[in-house]
Amino acid sequence: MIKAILIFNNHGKPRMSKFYEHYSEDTEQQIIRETFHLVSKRDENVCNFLEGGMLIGGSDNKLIYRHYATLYFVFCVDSSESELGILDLIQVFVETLDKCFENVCELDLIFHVDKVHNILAEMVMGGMVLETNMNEIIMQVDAQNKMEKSEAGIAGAPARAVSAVKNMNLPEIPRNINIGDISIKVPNLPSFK
Amino acid sequence: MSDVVEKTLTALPSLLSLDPQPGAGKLSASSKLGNLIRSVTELTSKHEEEKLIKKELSALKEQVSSPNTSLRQMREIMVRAIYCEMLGYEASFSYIHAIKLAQQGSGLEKRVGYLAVSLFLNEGHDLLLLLVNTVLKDLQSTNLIEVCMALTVVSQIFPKDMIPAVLPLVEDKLTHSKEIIRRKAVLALYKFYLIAPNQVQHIHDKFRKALCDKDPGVMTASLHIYLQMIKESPDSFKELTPSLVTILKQVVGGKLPVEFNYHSVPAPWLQMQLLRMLALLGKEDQSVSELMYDVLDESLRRAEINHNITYAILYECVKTIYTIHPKSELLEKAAKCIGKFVLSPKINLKYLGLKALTYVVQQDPNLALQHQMTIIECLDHPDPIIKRETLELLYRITNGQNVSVIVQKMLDFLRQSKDEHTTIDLVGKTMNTVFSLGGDEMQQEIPSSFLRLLAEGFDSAEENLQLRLNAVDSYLALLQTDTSHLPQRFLQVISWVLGEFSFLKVGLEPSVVLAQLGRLLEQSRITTETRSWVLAAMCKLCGGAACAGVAGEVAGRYGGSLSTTLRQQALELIVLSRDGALKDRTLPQNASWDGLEVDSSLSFLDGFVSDALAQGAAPYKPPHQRQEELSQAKVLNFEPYGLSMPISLSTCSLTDRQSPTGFSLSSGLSGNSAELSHKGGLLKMEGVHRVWGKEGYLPQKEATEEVPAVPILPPVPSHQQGGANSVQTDIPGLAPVPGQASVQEQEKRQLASSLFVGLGLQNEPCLMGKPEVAPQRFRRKARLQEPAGGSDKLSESSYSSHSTMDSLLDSSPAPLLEEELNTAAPLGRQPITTSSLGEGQNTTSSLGERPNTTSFLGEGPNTTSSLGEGPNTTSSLGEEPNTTSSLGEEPNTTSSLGEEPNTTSSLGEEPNTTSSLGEEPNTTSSLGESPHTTSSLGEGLNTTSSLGEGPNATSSLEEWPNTTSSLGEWPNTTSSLGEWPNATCLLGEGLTTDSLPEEGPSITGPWGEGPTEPPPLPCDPEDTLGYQSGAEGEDEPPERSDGATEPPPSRTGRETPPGLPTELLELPHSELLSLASDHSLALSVWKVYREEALELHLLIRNSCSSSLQGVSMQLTSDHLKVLGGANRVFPSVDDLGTVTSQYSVVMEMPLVHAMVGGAVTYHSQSESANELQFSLGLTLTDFIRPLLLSTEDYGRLWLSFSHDVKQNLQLLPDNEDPFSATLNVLKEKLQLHLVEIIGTEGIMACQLLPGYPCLLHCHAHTGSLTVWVRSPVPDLPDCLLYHCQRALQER
Repeated sequence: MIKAILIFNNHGKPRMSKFYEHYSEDTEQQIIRETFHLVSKRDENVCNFLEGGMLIGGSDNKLIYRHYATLYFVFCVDSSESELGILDLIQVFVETLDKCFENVCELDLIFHVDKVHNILAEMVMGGMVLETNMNEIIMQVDAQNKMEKSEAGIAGAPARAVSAVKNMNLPEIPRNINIGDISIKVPNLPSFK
Repeated sequence: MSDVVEKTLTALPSLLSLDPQPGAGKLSASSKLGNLIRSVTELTSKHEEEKLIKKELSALKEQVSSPNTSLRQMREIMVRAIYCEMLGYEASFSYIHAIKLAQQGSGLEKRVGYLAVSLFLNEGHDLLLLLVNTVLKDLQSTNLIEVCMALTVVSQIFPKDMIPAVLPLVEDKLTHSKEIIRRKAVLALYKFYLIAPNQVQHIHDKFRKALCDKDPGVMTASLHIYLQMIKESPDSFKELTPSLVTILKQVVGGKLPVEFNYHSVPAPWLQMQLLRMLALLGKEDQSVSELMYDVLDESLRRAEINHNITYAILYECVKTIYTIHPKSELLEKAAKCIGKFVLSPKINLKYLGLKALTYVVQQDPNLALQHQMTIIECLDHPDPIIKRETLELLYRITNGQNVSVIVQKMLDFLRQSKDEHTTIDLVGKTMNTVFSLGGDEMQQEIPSSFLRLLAEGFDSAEENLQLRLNAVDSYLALLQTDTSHLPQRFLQVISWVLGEFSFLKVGLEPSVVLAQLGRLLEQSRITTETRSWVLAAMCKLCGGAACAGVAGEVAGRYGGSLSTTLRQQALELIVLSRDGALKDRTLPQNASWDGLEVDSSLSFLDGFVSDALAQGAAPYKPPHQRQEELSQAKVLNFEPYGLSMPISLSTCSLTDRQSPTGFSLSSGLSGNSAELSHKGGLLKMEGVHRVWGKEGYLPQKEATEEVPAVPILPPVPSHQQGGANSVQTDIPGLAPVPGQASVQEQEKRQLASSLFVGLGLQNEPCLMGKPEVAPQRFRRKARLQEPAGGSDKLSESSYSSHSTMDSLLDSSPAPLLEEELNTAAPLGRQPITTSSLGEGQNTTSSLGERPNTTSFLGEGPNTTSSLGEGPNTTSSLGEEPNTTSSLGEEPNTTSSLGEEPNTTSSLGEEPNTTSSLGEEPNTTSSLGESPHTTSSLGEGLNTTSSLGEGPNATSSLEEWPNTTSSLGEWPNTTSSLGEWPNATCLLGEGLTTDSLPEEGPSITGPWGEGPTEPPPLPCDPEDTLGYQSGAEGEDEPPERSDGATEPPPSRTGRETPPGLPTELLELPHSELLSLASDHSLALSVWKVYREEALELHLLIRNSCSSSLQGVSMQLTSDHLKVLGGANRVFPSVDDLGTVTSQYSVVMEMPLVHAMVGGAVTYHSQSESANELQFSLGLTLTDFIRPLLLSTEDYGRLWLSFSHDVKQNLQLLPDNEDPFSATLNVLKEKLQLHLVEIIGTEGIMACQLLPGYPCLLHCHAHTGSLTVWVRSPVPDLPDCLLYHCQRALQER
C-alpha cells in the first residue's frame, strides 16, 4: 500500500503531504526533510526509485519519485506496490492536476492545497489505489466543484451582502442587526435559491 | 509534463505583489492565505518562519474562537491551519473546529472540514468520537458527495473500536446503485479488514459479490481485499484461481471498456494486481499453476507496446512466472524479458531488471551469467541505488568461491556511501550471511575491515548506533541458535562485536552476554584462536557482580589451559571481573578505536637493540634481505616479466582496492616468505589478485593476440585454422575499440569471472555470446587455476612485472603493435602467422625467410604440393614485410639466425649449387628458376615452393635420378670434398625434399660413392641440433622418388627405405628408426614433428619374396592419445614392397617418457597368421613445440598459470656468456622459444601438444641457473624441468 504522498519543491518546502499511516507531527516533518534530502541530491539521469528508507517502516519500503520543474512528487510505498505502476500513477496524478488547474504550477498547489487533497482522495483512498483513470477522477472532482460553485451562488451573495452591511457606516442600524446571527444563518437560507 | 508545471517560484513574487494581473486574480482572492504564503516565502531563516507562523497561529486561534466567524471564514482558517500543520506547526486548537466544520458545514465547508479532520487527527485521537455521529449522518445522506466524503474519512482514520458503529452502513453501501460508492465502500471495508479482520468476517460473501460486480472498478477495488487474504492464507483461496485467470484473460484480451485503458493498455494496474495474486496462488502448486500458464503467456505476448506501463506489467509477469510452478517455455520467455529490462538504456528498467535478476537468480543462476557484463557495469554505476541493487544481487549469488570478491565490493560500497543510512541494514544482513557462508575461506582482511567499519563508524553518531545495535541484535539472536556450524572467523567477529558494543543495547545485562559467550567457549569445535577472541570479549564485559560467577567459572576452566594465551586471558579475566576500576581503566567502553596507536617501528625496543649492537651483535636483516644476499648481491628483478594489460588493470585495482586496515599489512610484514615481504606491498597485491586473478580469467585481448599460445588447438590442422580464424574474426566484433576501452572491458570481464565463478555449474560462463572456443578456454583455465598454491606470488609477480614491462615497452618500438593496429588484414592474419612461426621454429633452418615460408604454409598446409598455389606463394611474399617486421621483433629469430653458422655458410655457397643446377640440361623449368630465386635471401621462399612442386608438377620423375646422378658426380668435380655436405644440404633445402640422414649411407650403397659419403651424423631425436644438421646433411630428391616408385634392382638384401611423402619432408622429422622385424616384415618409423601433433609414419616393409596378405596394424598407448583411430588395414603388401601408415599422437598428460606399443598382424603366403609386436619410446620433448609469443603476452600468461616448479640447474661452462649459451642449449634441445633475454634473466615458452602452454623463467646467478617453470597443467613443469636438466647434463 501507499504509506505517504509528499510534494515539495526544489528547496524542500513542503507543498502537500498526505500520510496514510499515523506518524507524530515531528516524525512527519522529519520524513519530509529526509525524503527531500535523499531525493534532491539525486541526479536527473538516475532511476526514480529509492530503497530501504529507515523512516517509513524500514527496509520494506521504497520511495518512488518524479521531478517536475520545481516540484518533487514522492510516493512512499511498501514492497507490494509495483514501482513502474506507481511511477505512472504519479504521472496520472500530475496530469489530473494539470487538467483541473489548467496548466498547473507550484502556486496552484500552494493556494489550493485542499483541492489537491481532494483530487488525491479520488485517486488513493486509505493508501490503496482507488482510481487510475484520469477522466473518472476529473469527473468526480468536477462534481464537487459544481457543488462548490452552486454553493458560491448560495453563500457568496449573502456573504457579500453581509460584508456590505458590515462596511456600511450606518450609525443606527448596527444596534438592531446581529451580524453574527446573520452570518450563521446565511447558508441555511433557502430563500436565496 | 515539465512544461506544464513551467510556472515556477520565480513567478511567485510578481503574483504575490497583488498586482491586478490576470493570473493572480484568482489566487490573491483568498488574500489571507496569500499573505501568509507570501510572508513565509519572503523569510530567510527557519527562526523567522517559526515566529511568523506562531503569530499566524495565535491569530487563527483568536479567529476560530470568536463566535462571529462564519463557516466560510472557518473554511479559510482551516486551509491556513492545514498549511501551518504541513509546515510542521501544531494547530491543535483548530481540531475541534475542523470537526465542527465537517458537522455543520455543507458542501465545500464540509469537505474542507473532513479534509482537515483526516489531516489533523489520527486513529488514536480522542476527538474522533465526536466525528462518529457526523459520519453516520453523512453515510445516510442522499447526497452522494457527502457519502463519499464520509467513506473516505472512515477509511482514513477510523480506529478499531469505532468500526462497529459504522460497519452496517458501510456494508449497505456495497449494494449502492452508484459504482463509485460501492467502490469506496469496498475500500473502506478493506481498511476495516486490515485493522480488524474479525469484525468483517461475516461479510466475506459480500466481498465475493464485489468481486463479481458488474463494474470493473468495484471488482478492482475488491481485489485489494482478496490480495490481502490470499497473502494470509493462499490455500483457502485456490478455488479463486480460475476466476482470476478468466478476469485477467478478459482484461488482457481487451474486453474492458475503453475508458479503462491507460496509454492503450487495458487496465494495467488491474493486470498487475491480478498477476500478483496469481503468483501467490500458484506458488508451489503445480495444478493451480497449470491453470495460469496460458494467460501468462498471453500477457507476455500482449505487453509489447513500448511504454513504461507495459514494462510494469511485464515485470509482474516475470515475477509471477518465476514464483509459480515452473514451466520451461514460460521461463525462457521470462528470461528474455528480464534481458530486455537489464539491457534497457532506461535506468528505471535496468533497476527493475536487476531486481528481477535478484529475484530469480537463486532459481536460475545462469541468468546472472548471461548478464554478467551488465552487472559488472552496474557495479560501477553512478547511481548508488543501482549499485546497491547490484550488490544485493551479488549477495544472492555468493558462494564459497566468489565470497571474498563480493565482500570486497560491498565494503567498498559501504565506505563510499557512509552517509546513507539506507545501507546500514544492508551491512548487517549481508555481512552476516557472507560471513557464515564464506567464513574461513576469507582472508583475515575482510572481517578485519568489517570490524573497522563498525568501530570507526560513519559520520553520524546516530547511524553508528543503529549499525552497531543492528549488529549486536543479530549476533545475539544468532548465538541463541545453533552456532556449531558457524565459521571460526564469524564467531570471532561476533565475540568482538558483543564485547565492544553490547553495552549499547539498553536493558541488556552483560551477564547474559557473558553466559552466551561462555556457552560458545564450551563448544569443542572452536579453535584456540577463537577461544582467545571470546575470552577477550568476556574481559570487556565482565563488570558487575552478576558476571563474576561466570567469569570465575570460565577462568577456572581455562586457567590451566595448555595454551599460554588462553591461560593468560583467563587470569586477566578473573582479575578484571573482581576489580571494576581496573577494568574501566584498561578496557574503557566504547573506546575501541580511540587513541589506539600501533608503534609499527617498535621504537620502544630501540634501547634494547642499541645495547645489543653495542655488545657486538650483528645488525638485523629482514628475511628477504638475507635471502637476497645469499643468492646474489644485486638482483635486477626477482620476478619474471609480465605486462601491459594486466598491468593497467592492476593499477586501477591498486587504487581502489587498497585495504583499509593495517591488519594485513602487519601480517605481511611478519610473513615468513621472502617473496611476500619482498615488495612490502603485499596488501595491494592481494587486492589485485583477488579481483581478477584467482579464477584465471583469460582476458579478451589476450585472445586476439595469443591464439597460437592458447592451449586448445584442435589436432587437425584445418580445424585449427578454422578455430583460429573464427576466434579472430569474432573478436574484433566484440571489442572494436582497442586500447583504453578494451582495457576497461577486460577489467570488467576479469571481475566478472571472479564474481560469477561457481555459478551455473553445468553451463560454462558465456561472455556475451562469444564463440564456443573462448569460453572453453576460459573454463579450462579457471579450473586449472583453482588449486593455485602460490597465489600471493602470483599477484606479486603481476605487480612487479608491471614496472619491468613498462620500461620494456618504452624502450622498444613496438612494430608488432603497430602492425596489429594498421589494417584489418594483418590483424586477421597475425595469429596464423605467428602460429606457423612455431612451425618455422621446428623446421630445420632459421633463415630470415623461413618463417615466411611457414606462414604461407600455415595458411594452406597443402600448398607446397600443388602448382596452382604458386600465386599464393607470391602473395604471401608480398606480405613479407609485415611478417618479417614482426619477426624482427622476435629476439629469438634473430638470435637463432646468428646461431646457425652452418646455414649461413652454406648460403654463401649456394650460388655454386644453383648454377650447376641451372646447367643441368634435364632440369625442369622449375629448376631453371632456381638460380635467380635463390640469389636473394628473400626469394629463397620461392625456390622452396616451386622446387618443392617440381617432383609432382613436372612429371619427369624419371629424369630426376639423372639430375641427381649428375649431382652426385658433381662434388667430384669440385675441388674440395668438404663442401659436399654443404652443397647437398643446400640442395636438399632448396628443393624442400629433405629426407632422413639415415638415408645418407643408403645412397652410398647403390651408387657406391664412397669418397663423397657424408659424414654420419648423430640421430638423437631429442637433439635438435644434431637433427637439424642431419636434415641438412642428407641426400637428394632422387633417392626419395626412387623409393616412391620402384626400388632399383641393385638394392637387394638391403633395406631401401622409401622417403616420406613430399609434403612431409619439409617438416622436421627424425631419421628412420627401426622398430622391429621378423623373417618377413620389417617395421620402422619416422617421427614427423608436426605443429599440431607428433606424427608417426610407420613403414612396413615386406622383406620376403612373396606378398603378404591382410596386414593390419594397431597402435596403442596408455598415456598418449592416438588421433584418428589406431587401426590400419592393408589388403596386401607386395613382395619387397612397402606400405606406410601414419598416426598422429599427442600427449594429453605430461609425462617424462611414454611408450607407444602396437602390433602388426599379417598372413604370409603360408597362410599362417603372424603377429609382430613393436614398441616405441617417446619423450616429452617429442611433443614440445615452441610457443611463439611476445614478452608482453608472456607476462600475461605467466600470471594466469598456477602450477609452478622452481629448480636450480648448473650453468654450462662457457667463457663468453654462460647464461645465453645455456639458454640456447635448452632452446635447441627442447624446442623452446626464447622470448627474451634481459640481463641475467631469460624467458622461454613452449607448448606441449595438444597445446598446453608452459613458460620458463630463467635467472642466472653465481654459477647456477634458477629455472622457474609455470604451466596450467599440473605435471608439465616437473617433466619439463627434468628434460631441461637432462639436456644440460648431456651437454
